[in-house]
Amino acid sequence: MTTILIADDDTDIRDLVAFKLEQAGHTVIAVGDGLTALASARIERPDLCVLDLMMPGLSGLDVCADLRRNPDTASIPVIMLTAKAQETDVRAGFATGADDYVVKPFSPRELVSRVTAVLARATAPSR
Amino acid sequence: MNRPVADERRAHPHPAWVWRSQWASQSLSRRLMASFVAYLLLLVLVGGVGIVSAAAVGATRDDELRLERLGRANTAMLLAMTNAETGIRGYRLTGDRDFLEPYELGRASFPRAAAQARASAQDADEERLVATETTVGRRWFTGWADPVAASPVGAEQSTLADAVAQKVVFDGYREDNARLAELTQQRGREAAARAEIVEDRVLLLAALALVVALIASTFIHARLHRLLVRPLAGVVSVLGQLATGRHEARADVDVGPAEVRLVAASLNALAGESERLLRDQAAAAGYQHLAVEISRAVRDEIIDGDPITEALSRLGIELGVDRVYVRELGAEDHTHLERQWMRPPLAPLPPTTGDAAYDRETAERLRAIYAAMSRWVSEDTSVPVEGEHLTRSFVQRTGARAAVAVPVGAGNETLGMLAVVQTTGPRCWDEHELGVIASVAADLGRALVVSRLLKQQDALVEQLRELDRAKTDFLSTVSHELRTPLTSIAGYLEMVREGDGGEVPPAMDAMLVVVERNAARLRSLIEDLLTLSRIESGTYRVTHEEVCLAETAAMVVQSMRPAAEKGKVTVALEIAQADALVVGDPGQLERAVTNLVSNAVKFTPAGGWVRLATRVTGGRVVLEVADTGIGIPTGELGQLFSRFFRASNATEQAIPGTGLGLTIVRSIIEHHGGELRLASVVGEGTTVTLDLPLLAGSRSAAATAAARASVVASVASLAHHELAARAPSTVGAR
Repeated sequence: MTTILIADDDTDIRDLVAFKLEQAGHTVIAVGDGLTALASARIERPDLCVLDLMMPGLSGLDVCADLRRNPDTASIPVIMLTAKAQETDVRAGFATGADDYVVKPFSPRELVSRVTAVLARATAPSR
Repeated sequence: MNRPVADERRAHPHPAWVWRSQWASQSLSRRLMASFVAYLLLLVLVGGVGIVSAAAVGATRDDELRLERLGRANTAMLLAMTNAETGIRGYRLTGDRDFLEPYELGRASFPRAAAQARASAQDADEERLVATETTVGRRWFTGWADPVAASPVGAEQSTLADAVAQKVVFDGYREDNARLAELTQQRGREAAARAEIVEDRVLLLAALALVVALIASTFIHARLHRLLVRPLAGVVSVLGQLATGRHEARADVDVGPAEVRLVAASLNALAGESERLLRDQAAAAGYQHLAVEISRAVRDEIIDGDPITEALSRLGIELGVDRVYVRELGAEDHTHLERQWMRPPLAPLPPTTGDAAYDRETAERLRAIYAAMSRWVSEDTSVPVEGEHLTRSFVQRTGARAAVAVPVGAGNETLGMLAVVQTTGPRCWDEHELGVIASVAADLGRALVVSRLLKQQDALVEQLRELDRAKTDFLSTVSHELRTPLTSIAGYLEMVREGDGGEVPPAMDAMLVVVERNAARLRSLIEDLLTLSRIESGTYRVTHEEVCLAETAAMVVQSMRPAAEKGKVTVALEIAQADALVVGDPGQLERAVTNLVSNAVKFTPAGGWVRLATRVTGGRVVLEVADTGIGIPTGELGQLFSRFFRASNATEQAIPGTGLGLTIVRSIIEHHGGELRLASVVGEGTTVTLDLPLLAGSRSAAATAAARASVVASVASLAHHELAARAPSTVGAR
C-alpha cells in the first residue's frame, strides 16, 4: 500500500489525480498548497509526491528543494506536475531534485503509469 | 663714480646729495646750451686774447716801423744835406756848375725827407727834434747853400768866417740829426724790446688761454660724458637685458640729466607694461589650459555624474573660490542642486531650495541671461544690484561675498546654471577667469544633455525590461491559467471515456469523442498561440549556434516514428551532405522541422510516405519535406501561412490542427534568414522546402566523418527504435 501525496491548488485537478491514483490502488493525500504539502510530507512520509509547480506561497520547486534538504524526506521521489513546459523550467525542476516532469494538460492514465514507473525505480536497488 | 641707489639713501637723502642730484638732473638741453655758451665764451676769450695780442704786437710793430721811417727820413735828410753840402763845396772849389747836381738833389729831397720825418714823428721830443733839424737844415740852405748856389762861380763872396759859420750850422745840423737818429734808434730799440715783451706776453697769454680752453672743454666734455653717456649706457644695458628675456630689469631713473631720466622712466614704464602683458598672457594660457582640461575631463567619461563633480572641484581649487555648484532646472521650474564642490569647512548646499517662488524667479532670470548670451557677475555682494530680492536670497543661501553665475544650456534650452562663489570677501573677477567659467559652463551644458539622454535611455531600457518581464510573466500566467482548466477537462473526459464514472453508452461516447477532439484542439491552440507570440515578440532567447540540419532532421524523424507508425506512413531520410551547418537556434529549428514533418505525416493517408532530404546548393542548405498526402487546393496556397487558416480539405476530413503550425514554421525560418516554399497538388502530395544560409563549412575532416557516422547511425536506428522511453508530451503539436 503506497501513499502518494498530491499537491495542487486547483481542486478539480487534485480530485482527478486522487481519483485515478486511488483507482490504481494507492492511498492518496491531497493538499492545496506548498506549506501543507511540506508539513504532510514530513509527518506522513509518503512514498511519492506529485507537486504542482505554481502554487501560492511555497512553489512546487521550493517544496521539492526543502524535501531534499531534509534527510528524513530526501529520498522521497517527486514528480513535477505543471503547465510550465519551457526547457528552462524542466531543467530547473530536475535540478531541484525532481524525478520526473509531467506537463499539463496530461493524460491521467499516463500519469498513473509514470507514477508506477517512478515507484518502481525508487524501490529498485539500483537507485 | 657709482652711486648706489640704496633705499635708505632714497628715504633720507643728504642735502648735498639732493642738491647734486637736482643739479645733475638738470635738463640735458640746458646743459648743452650751457656747454655751448661756455665753449663760445672760451672761443671769445681765446679770440679776444688773440685780437688783443695781435693789436698790441701790431701797435708795437707800427711804432717800430714809424721809428724806422723816422730814422730813414732822418738819414735821408742828412744825406740830402750832405749831398747839398758836397755839391756846394765842390762848386765852391771848382766853380763848376756840374758840382751843383748833388746840391740840387739834396735841396729837392731835403723837404721831402723832412716832411716824411715830420710825418713819422709822434711824440713831442721827436717833433721838436725834427722841427729843430728841419729848421737848422733850412736855415743852412737858405742861409748858405742857396745863395752860394745862386752866385756865379769864382765869386768868392763867402769868407772863411762864413764858411766856418756855415760849418758850425752844418755841424749843428749834424748834431741835431745825430740826436734825432739816436733818439730814433733808442726809441726803436725800446720799441723792439717792447715788442718782444709784448710778443712773449702774447704767446704766454695765448698758451694760457689755449690750456684753459683745453682744460675747460675737456672738463665739459668729461662732465657731459659722465652725465649723458653713463646713464644712456645704463639704459642701453637694461634694454639689452629686457631683450634677452630678463623682464624684471629696470633702468635707474635717478641718474643722468632730465631727458635721460625721462627715457629711463619711459623704458621702465614700457618694461612694466610688457611684463604685465606677458604675465597676463601666461595667466590667459593657464586659464585656457585649465578650461581645456576640465572640458576633456567632463567629456571623457560622460557616463556617470562623477566627472562633472571632479570638474567643479578642479575649477574651484584653481580659481581659489569657496563654492562651485550646478543648479539644474527641473520640471515646472523647480531647481535642484546635485553636483557641487565646496572648500572643506563649508557644508554642502541642500539639493532643493524649498522656495518655489525663488526657483521660478531664478529660472526666469536664467533664461533671460542665457538668451542674452550673458552672465551674472558680482564683485561685492554688499553693493546692491538690480533684481535685489534674488541676489539677497542667493547671498543668504550661499554666503556669497563675490559670485559669478553662468547659465548652462544647450541649443535654445536653458538647463541650469553654474555658480562660482567666494565667501571670504569681495573679488575682482578678471576676464580670463570669467572665460574659464564660461567655457566650463558650455561643456557642462553638453554634458548635462548627454547625461539626461543617458538617464532617459536607462529609464527606457528599464521600462522595456519591465515590459518584457511583464509580458513573460503574462505569457506564463496565461499559459498556466489556460492549461489548468484544460487539464481538468481532458483528464475527466479521459476518465469518463474509460468508464471510471460508470458505463458510457455508445451514443454518449460518440459525443464525448467530439468533446475530446476539441479539447485536444484547444490544447494545441494554446500551445501554438504561446509559441507564436513568443517567437514574434522575440521573447524566445534565440541562440546563435552551429546547427547541423541533417542531425535535426534525423532527430525529428526519430521522434515522429511512433506517430508515423500509427498512421501507417513510411518516413525516409536522405542526407546528401551531413556536415552542412547553419547558424541558428537548435530548439526552434527542431520545432520547425517537427511541425513540417508532423503535418506531412498527419495529412498523408495510410500507406503513403514522407521523405526528408537535405542537400547543399549555391551557398544554402536545403531541407525538403515531401509527402504523398492530400495536398492543398491551389487557390488556398496563398493563405496557407496565415494564422488559423486551415485548408478546406483538411477541415472536411476532420484532420485536427490549429492552423498555426505553418505560421510558426514561417516565423522561425524568417528569423533565421531563410526561405520557405511550398508546392502541392491536391490528392497527390505536398512538398515543403526550407532553405537557410550555409555557414561556411568549419568542421574538420574528422569531425565531418564523425558527424556523418553519427547521422548514419541515427538513421540506421530509426528502423528499430521504439518511442517508449520518450515523454508523451513531445508527441503531437509542439
